[in-house]
Amino acid sequence: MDISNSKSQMRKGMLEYCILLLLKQQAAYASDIIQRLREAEMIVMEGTLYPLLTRLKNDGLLGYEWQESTQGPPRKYYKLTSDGQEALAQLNASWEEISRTVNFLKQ
Amino acid sequence: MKKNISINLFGTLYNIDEDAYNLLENYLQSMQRYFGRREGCEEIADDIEHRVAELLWQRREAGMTAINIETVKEIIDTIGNAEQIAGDGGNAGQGSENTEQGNKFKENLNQFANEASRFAHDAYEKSYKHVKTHRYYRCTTDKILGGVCSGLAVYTNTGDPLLWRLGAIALTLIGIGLPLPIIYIVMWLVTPAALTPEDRLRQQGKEITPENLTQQVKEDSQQMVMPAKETHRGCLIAIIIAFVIIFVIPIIAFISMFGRMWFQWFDMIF
Repeated sequence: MDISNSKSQMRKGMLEYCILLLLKQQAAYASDIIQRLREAEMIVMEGTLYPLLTRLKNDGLLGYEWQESTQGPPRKYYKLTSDGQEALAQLNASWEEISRTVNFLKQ
Repeated sequence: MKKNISINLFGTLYNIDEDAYNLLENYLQSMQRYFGRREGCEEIADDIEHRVAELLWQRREAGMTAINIETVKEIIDTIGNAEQIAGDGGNAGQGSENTEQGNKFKENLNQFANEASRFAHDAYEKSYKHVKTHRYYRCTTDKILGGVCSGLAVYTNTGDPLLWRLGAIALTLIGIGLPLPIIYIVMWLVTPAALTPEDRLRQQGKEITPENLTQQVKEDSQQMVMPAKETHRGCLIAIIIAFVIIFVIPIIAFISMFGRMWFQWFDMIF
Protein backbone atom coordinates (compact mmCIF):
# COMPACT_ATOMS: atom_id res chain seq x y z
CA MET A 1 0.00 0.00 0.00
CA ASP A 2 1.23 3.42 -0.91
CA ILE A 3 1.27 5.29 2.38
CA SER A 4 2.12 8.70 1.00
CA ASN A 5 -0.74 8.42 -1.45
CA SER A 6 -3.30 7.59 1.21
CA LYS A 7 -1.90 10.35 3.38
CA SER A 8 -2.38 12.84 0.61
CA GLN A 9 -5.89 11.52 0.04
CA MET A 10 -6.73 12.22 3.66
CA ARG A 11 -5.23 15.65 3.41
CA LYS A 12 -7.34 16.43 0.41
CA GLY A 13 -10.46 15.39 2.21
CA MET A 14 -9.44 17.51 5.15
CA LEU A 15 -8.56 20.58 3.16
CA GLU A 16 -12.10 21.21 2.09
CA TYR A 17 -13.32 20.90 5.64
CA CYS A 18 -10.55 23.16 6.92
CA ILE A 19 -11.39 25.88 4.43
CA LEU A 20 -15.06 25.80 5.37
CA LEU A 21 -14.11 25.99 9.06
CA LEU A 22 -11.81 28.88 8.39
CA LEU A 23 -14.32 30.85 6.39
CA LYS A 24 -17.01 30.33 8.97
CA GLN A 25 -15.29 32.85 11.24
CA GLN A 26 -14.86 35.55 8.67
CA ALA A 27 -14.63 36.24 4.98
CA ALA A 28 -11.14 35.94 3.58
CA TYR A 29 -9.27 36.13 0.30
CA ALA A 30 -6.90 33.56 -1.12
CA SER A 31 -3.68 34.85 0.45
CA ASP A 32 -5.38 35.14 3.86
CA ILE A 33 -6.56 31.59 3.57
CA ILE A 34 -3.10 30.35 2.67
CA GLN A 35 -1.64 32.30 5.57
CA ARG A 36 -4.14 30.94 8.07
CA LEU A 37 -3.78 27.37 6.85
CA ARG A 38 -0.02 27.72 7.33
CA GLU A 39 -0.57 28.97 10.84
CA ALA A 40 -2.75 25.94 11.46
CA GLU A 41 0.10 23.74 10.17
CA MET A 42 -1.94 22.63 7.24
CA ILE A 43 0.71 23.13 4.62
CA VAL A 44 -0.73 23.72 1.22
CA MET A 45 0.78 24.86 -2.01
CA GLU A 46 -0.99 27.93 -3.22
CA GLY A 47 -1.78 26.40 -6.54
CA THR A 48 -3.96 23.74 -4.94
CA LEU A 49 -6.18 26.32 -3.43
CA TYR A 50 -7.49 28.11 -6.48
CA PRO A 51 -9.11 25.12 -8.15
CA LEU A 52 -10.53 24.05 -4.80
CA LEU A 53 -12.06 27.45 -4.02
CA THR A 54 -13.52 27.61 -7.49
CA ARG A 55 -15.04 24.17 -7.12
CA LEU A 56 -16.56 25.00 -3.74
CA LYS A 57 -17.96 28.16 -5.27
CA ASN A 58 -19.38 26.22 -8.22
CA ASP A 59 -20.99 23.79 -5.80
CA GLY A 60 -22.67 26.74 -4.12
CA LEU A 61 -20.91 26.36 -0.76
CA LEU A 62 -18.97 29.59 -1.12
CA GLY A 63 -19.71 32.98 -2.56
CA TYR A 64 -17.33 35.83 -3.14
CA GLU A 65 -17.25 39.55 -3.67
CA TRP A 66 -14.54 41.74 -5.10
CA GLN A 67 -12.95 44.34 -2.88
CA GLU A 68 -10.50 47.01 -3.87
CA SER A 69 -7.24 46.87 -2.02
CA THR A 70 -4.67 49.50 -1.22
CA GLN A 71 -2.08 46.72 -1.12
CA GLY A 72 -2.14 45.68 -4.74
CA PRO A 73 -4.76 44.28 -7.09
CA PRO A 74 -8.43 43.85 -6.13
CA ARG A 75 -9.17 40.86 -3.94
CA LYS A 76 -11.81 38.18 -4.07
CA TYR A 77 -13.27 37.78 -0.59
CA TYR A 78 -14.83 34.38 -0.10
CA LYS A 79 -17.50 33.66 2.43
CA LEU A 80 -19.76 30.78 3.38
CA THR A 81 -23.22 30.63 1.82
CA SER A 82 -26.14 29.13 3.68
CA ASP A 83 -25.54 25.91 1.74
CA GLY A 84 -21.96 26.15 2.93
CA GLN A 85 -23.10 26.48 6.55
CA GLU A 86 -25.19 23.39 6.12
CA ALA A 87 -22.39 21.43 4.50
CA LEU A 88 -20.09 22.48 7.31
CA ALA A 89 -22.58 21.29 9.91
CA GLN A 90 -22.72 17.94 8.16
CA LEU A 91 -18.97 17.69 7.94
CA ASN A 92 -18.70 18.58 11.62
CA ALA A 93 -21.05 15.77 12.46
CA SER A 94 -19.22 13.40 10.19
CA TRP A 95 -15.87 14.40 11.71
CA GLU A 96 -17.23 13.63 15.18
CA GLU A 97 -18.49 10.31 14.02
CA ILE A 98 -15.27 9.33 12.33
CA SER A 99 -13.06 10.43 15.16
CA ARG A 100 -15.25 8.47 17.58
CA THR A 101 -14.89 5.42 15.37
CA VAL A 102 -11.15 5.76 15.06
CA ASN A 103 -10.69 6.43 18.76
CA PHE A 104 -12.78 3.41 19.55
CA LEU A 105 -10.75 1.19 17.26
CA LYS A 106 -7.48 2.51 18.60
CA GLN A 107 -8.20 1.37 22.14
CA MET B 1 22.17 45.46 -20.15
CA LYS B 2 18.67 44.29 -20.81
CA LYS B 3 15.75 45.71 -22.67
CA ASN B 4 12.99 46.70 -20.31
CA ILE B 5 9.26 46.65 -20.88
CA SER B 6 6.53 48.41 -19.00
CA ILE B 7 3.42 46.35 -18.19
CA ASN B 8 0.09 47.23 -16.67
CA LEU B 9 -1.27 44.66 -14.22
CA PHE B 10 -4.68 45.56 -12.83
CA GLY B 11 -3.95 49.24 -13.05
CA THR B 12 -0.40 49.24 -11.68
CA LEU B 13 2.63 49.76 -13.88
CA TYR B 14 5.68 47.54 -13.55
CA ASN B 15 9.02 47.59 -15.29
CA ILE B 16 10.02 44.15 -16.37
CA ASP B 17 13.01 42.74 -18.29
CA GLU B 18 12.19 41.42 -21.70
CA ASP B 19 13.10 37.79 -20.96
CA ALA B 20 11.19 37.91 -17.69
CA TYR B 21 8.22 39.32 -19.56
CA ASN B 22 8.29 36.49 -22.08
CA LEU B 23 8.40 33.88 -19.33
CA LEU B 24 5.56 35.49 -17.41
CA GLU B 25 3.47 35.95 -20.51
CA ASN B 26 4.02 32.34 -21.53
CA TYR B 27 3.16 31.09 -18.07
CA LEU B 28 -0.04 33.09 -17.78
CA GLN B 29 -1.07 32.17 -21.30
CA SER B 30 -0.61 28.48 -20.76
CA MET B 31 -2.55 28.63 -17.49
CA GLN B 32 -5.25 30.48 -19.40
CA ARG B 33 -5.37 27.85 -22.09
CA TYR B 34 -5.23 25.02 -19.58
CA PHE B 35 -7.95 26.17 -17.22
CA GLY B 36 -9.95 28.21 -19.72
CA ARG B 37 -11.05 25.10 -21.55
CA ARG B 38 -12.35 23.34 -18.48
CA GLU B 39 -15.91 23.94 -17.50
CA GLY B 40 -16.21 25.90 -14.28
CA CYS B 41 -12.46 26.53 -14.18
CA GLU B 42 -12.38 29.72 -16.22
CA GLU B 43 -11.77 31.88 -13.18
CA ILE B 44 -8.73 30.00 -11.99
CA ALA B 45 -6.35 31.52 -14.52
CA ASP B 46 -7.64 34.93 -13.50
CA ASP B 47 -7.10 34.10 -9.82
CA ILE B 48 -3.53 33.13 -10.65
CA GLU B 49 -2.99 36.39 -12.50
CA HIS B 50 -4.27 38.32 -9.50
CA ARG B 51 -1.91 36.41 -7.27
CA VAL B 52 1.01 37.16 -9.57
CA ALA B 53 0.08 40.85 -9.44
CA GLU B 54 -0.07 40.72 -5.66
CA LEU B 55 3.33 39.06 -5.36
CA LEU B 56 4.82 41.62 -7.72
CA TRP B 57 3.26 44.39 -5.67
CA GLN B 58 4.82 43.03 -2.50
CA ARG B 59 8.22 42.92 -4.12
CA ARG B 60 7.87 46.44 -5.38
CA GLU B 61 6.92 47.65 -1.92
CA ALA B 62 10.07 45.96 -0.71
CA GLY B 63 12.09 48.14 -3.05
CA MET B 64 12.43 46.17 -6.26
CA THR B 65 12.56 48.51 -9.22
CA ALA B 66 12.68 46.17 -12.21
CA ILE B 67 11.38 42.64 -12.38
CA ASN B 68 13.98 40.18 -13.60
CA ILE B 69 13.66 36.60 -14.72
CA GLU B 70 14.71 35.16 -11.36
CA THR B 71 11.83 36.97 -9.69
CA VAL B 72 9.37 35.57 -12.18
CA LYS B 73 10.69 32.04 -11.66
CA GLU B 74 10.37 32.50 -7.92
CA ILE B 75 6.77 33.63 -8.30
CA ILE B 76 5.91 30.73 -10.54
CA ASP B 77 7.39 28.34 -7.99
CA THR B 78 5.46 29.97 -5.17
CA ILE B 79 2.15 29.59 -6.89
CA GLY B 80 2.80 26.06 -7.92
CA ASN B 81 4.41 23.64 -8.99
CA ALA B 82 1.70 21.94 -10.33
CA GLU B 83 1.01 18.58 -9.25
CA GLN B 84 -0.32 21.01 -6.75
CA ILE B 85 -2.55 22.93 -9.09
CA ALA B 86 -3.75 19.72 -10.60
CA GLY B 87 -5.02 18.88 -7.16
CA ASP B 88 -2.71 16.01 -6.40
CA GLY B 89 -1.06 17.62 -3.43
CA GLY B 90 1.39 14.73 -3.21
CA ASN B 91 3.86 15.78 -0.57
CA ALA B 92 2.14 18.94 0.48
CA GLY B 93 2.59 18.11 4.12
CA GLN B 94 6.31 17.68 4.35
CA GLY B 95 6.84 21.05 5.94
CA SER B 96 5.14 20.08 9.16
CA GLU B 97 6.83 16.74 9.52
CA ASN B 98 9.41 17.61 12.13
CA THR B 99 7.47 19.56 14.66
CA GLU B 100 5.71 18.14 17.65
CA GLN B 101 2.61 20.00 16.68
CA GLY B 102 2.91 18.70 13.17
CA ASN B 103 2.89 15.15 14.42
CA LYS B 104 -0.11 15.72 16.57
CA PHE B 105 -1.79 17.32 13.65
CA LYS B 106 -1.02 14.37 11.46
CA GLU B 107 -2.53 12.07 14.02
CA ASN B 108 -5.69 14.09 13.89
CA LEU B 109 -5.51 13.96 10.19
CA ASN B 110 -5.28 10.22 10.19
CA GLN B 111 -8.45 10.10 12.15
CA PHE B 112 -10.34 11.85 9.49
CA ALA B 113 -11.09 8.81 7.48
CA ASN B 114 -11.86 7.94 3.96
CA GLU B 115 -15.40 9.01 3.37
CA ALA B 116 -14.63 12.65 2.83
CA SER B 117 -11.34 12.04 1.16
CA ARG B 118 -12.75 9.61 -1.31
CA PHE B 119 -15.42 12.10 -2.21
CA ALA B 120 -12.85 14.81 -2.75
CA HIS B 121 -10.61 12.49 -4.71
CA ASP B 122 -13.40 11.56 -7.11
CA ALA B 123 -14.24 15.19 -7.66
CA TYR B 124 -10.62 15.97 -8.45
CA GLU B 125 -10.30 13.06 -10.80
CA LYS B 126 -13.39 14.18 -12.63
CA SER B 127 -12.39 17.77 -13.08
CA TYR B 128 -8.72 17.24 -13.82
CA LYS B 129 -8.49 14.29 -16.10
CA HIS B 130 -5.48 14.71 -18.33
CA VAL B 131 -5.32 13.57 -21.86
CA LYS B 132 -2.02 12.18 -22.95
CA THR B 133 -1.40 12.40 -26.63
CA HIS B 134 1.68 11.79 -28.67
CA ARG B 135 1.59 13.78 -31.87
CA TYR B 136 4.00 14.68 -34.59
CA TYR B 137 4.90 18.36 -34.83
CA ARG B 138 7.59 20.10 -36.75
CA CYS B 139 10.19 21.73 -34.57
CA THR B 140 10.23 25.50 -34.71
CA THR B 141 13.21 25.90 -32.46
CA ASP B 142 15.78 23.66 -34.11
CA LYS B 143 15.37 23.77 -37.82
CA ILE B 144 17.30 24.09 -41.03
CA LEU B 145 14.42 24.17 -43.49
CA GLY B 146 11.04 23.32 -42.03
CA GLY B 147 12.02 21.46 -38.89
CA VAL B 148 10.66 18.18 -40.28
CA CYS B 149 13.74 16.14 -39.31
CA SER B 150 14.16 17.65 -35.86
CA GLY B 151 10.44 17.06 -35.37
CA LEU B 152 11.01 13.39 -36.11
CA ALA B 153 13.93 13.29 -33.71
CA VAL B 154 11.82 14.74 -30.90
CA TYR B 155 8.81 12.60 -31.71
CA THR B 156 10.75 9.36 -31.72
CA ASN B 157 12.91 10.55 -28.85
CA THR B 158 16.07 9.64 -30.75
CA GLY B 159 17.96 12.67 -29.65
CA ASP B 160 20.00 14.11 -32.47
CA PRO B 161 18.20 15.50 -35.51
CA LEU B 162 21.53 15.46 -37.33
CA LEU B 163 21.18 11.68 -37.81
CA TRP B 164 17.80 12.13 -39.47
CA ARG B 165 19.11 14.90 -41.69
CA LEU B 166 22.22 13.03 -42.79
CA GLY B 167 20.16 9.87 -43.28
CA ALA B 168 17.66 11.64 -45.50
CA ILE B 169 20.36 13.30 -47.60
CA ALA B 170 22.36 10.08 -47.90
CA LEU B 171 19.31 8.06 -48.95
CA THR B 172 18.45 10.68 -51.55
CA LEU B 173 21.95 10.77 -52.95
CA ILE B 174 22.34 7.01 -53.33
CA GLY B 175 19.03 6.93 -55.13
CA ILE B 176 16.86 4.88 -52.75
CA GLY B 177 15.30 7.99 -51.28
CA LEU B 178 14.60 9.90 -54.45
CA PRO B 179 11.02 10.76 -53.45
CA LEU B 180 12.23 12.03 -50.07
CA PRO B 181 12.54 15.71 -51.05
CA ILE B 182 8.93 15.67 -52.22
CA ILE B 183 7.80 13.83 -49.09
CA TYR B 184 9.72 16.43 -47.10
CA ILE B 185 7.92 19.31 -48.76
CA VAL B 186 4.54 17.62 -48.35
CA MET B 187 5.21 17.04 -44.65
CA TRP B 188 6.33 20.63 -44.33
CA LEU B 189 3.03 21.75 -45.81
CA VAL B 190 0.60 19.43 -44.04
CA THR B 191 2.00 18.88 -40.56
CA PRO B 192 1.62 21.54 -37.88
CA ALA B 193 4.53 23.27 -36.23
CA ALA B 194 4.97 23.09 -32.46
CA LEU B 195 4.12 26.67 -31.59
CA THR B 196 2.88 26.55 -27.98
CA PRO B 197 4.26 24.87 -24.87
CA GLU B 198 1.31 22.45 -25.09
CA ASP B 199 2.36 21.47 -28.60
CA ARG B 200 5.87 20.80 -27.38
CA LEU B 201 4.52 18.53 -24.63
CA ARG B 202 2.35 16.58 -27.06
CA GLN B 203 5.30 16.28 -29.38
CA GLN B 204 7.24 14.50 -26.65
CA GLY B 205 4.24 12.44 -25.65
CA LYS B 206 4.05 14.07 -22.22
CA GLU B 207 0.85 14.68 -20.34
CA ILE B 208 -0.48 18.21 -20.37
CA THR B 209 -0.64 19.06 -16.70
CA PRO B 210 -0.02 22.43 -15.10
CA GLU B 211 3.21 20.97 -13.74
CA ASN B 212 4.54 19.87 -17.11
CA LEU B 213 3.34 23.11 -18.65
CA THR B 214 5.15 25.21 -16.09
CA GLN B 215 8.26 23.11 -16.61
CA GLN B 216 8.05 23.48 -20.37
CA VAL B 217 7.48 27.22 -20.18
CA LYS B 218 10.56 27.53 -18.04
CA GLU B 219 12.63 25.38 -20.38
CA ASP B 220 11.46 27.43 -23.33
CA SER B 221 12.56 30.59 -21.61
CA GLN B 222 15.98 29.07 -21.03
CA GLN B 223 16.31 28.26 -24.71
CA MET B 224 15.02 31.71 -25.57
CA VAL B 225 12.01 30.33 -27.40
CA MET B 226 9.76 33.20 -28.24
CA PRO B 227 6.07 32.63 -28.70
CA ALA B 228 6.31 31.84 -32.38
CA LYS B 229 4.11 32.61 -35.28
CA GLU B 230 4.53 30.37 -38.23
CA THR B 231 4.00 31.16 -41.84
CA HIS B 232 4.52 28.87 -44.74
CA ARG B 233 6.69 31.39 -46.50
CA GLY B 234 9.81 29.27 -46.09
CA CYS B 235 8.05 26.31 -47.62
CA LEU B 236 6.83 28.32 -50.58
CA ILE B 237 10.35 29.51 -51.25
CA ALA B 238 11.54 25.90 -51.16
CA ILE B 239 8.82 24.90 -53.63
CA ILE B 240 9.73 27.74 -55.95
CA ILE B 241 13.38 26.74 -55.83
CA ALA B 242 12.45 23.14 -56.56
CA PHE B 243 10.26 24.32 -59.42
CA VAL B 244 13.12 26.37 -60.82
CA ILE B 245 15.49 23.43 -60.62
CA ILE B 246 13.05 21.02 -62.26
CA PHE B 247 11.62 23.23 -65.02
CA VAL B 248 13.50 26.44 -65.57
CA ILE B 249 17.02 25.04 -65.76
CA PRO B 250 16.17 22.50 -68.50
CA ILE B 251 14.42 25.27 -70.42
CA ILE B 252 17.47 27.52 -70.20
CA ALA B 253 19.69 24.64 -71.18
CA PHE B 254 17.43 23.93 -74.09
CA ILE B 255 17.38 27.55 -75.20
CA SER B 256 21.13 27.88 -74.95
CA MET B 257 21.62 24.68 -76.91
CA PHE B 258 19.16 25.88 -79.47
CA GLY B 259 20.95 29.22 -79.60
CA ARG B 260 24.28 27.57 -80.22
CA MET B 261 22.78 25.53 -83.04
CA TRP B 262 21.37 28.68 -84.50
CA PHE B 263 24.80 30.32 -84.38
CA GLN B 264 26.43 27.34 -86.03
CA TRP B 265 23.78 27.40 -88.73
CA PHE B 266 24.36 31.14 -89.12
CA ASP B 267 28.11 30.56 -89.46
CA MET B 268 27.58 27.88 -92.08
CA ILE B 269 25.50 30.11 -94.32
CA PHE B 270 27.65 33.17 -94.13
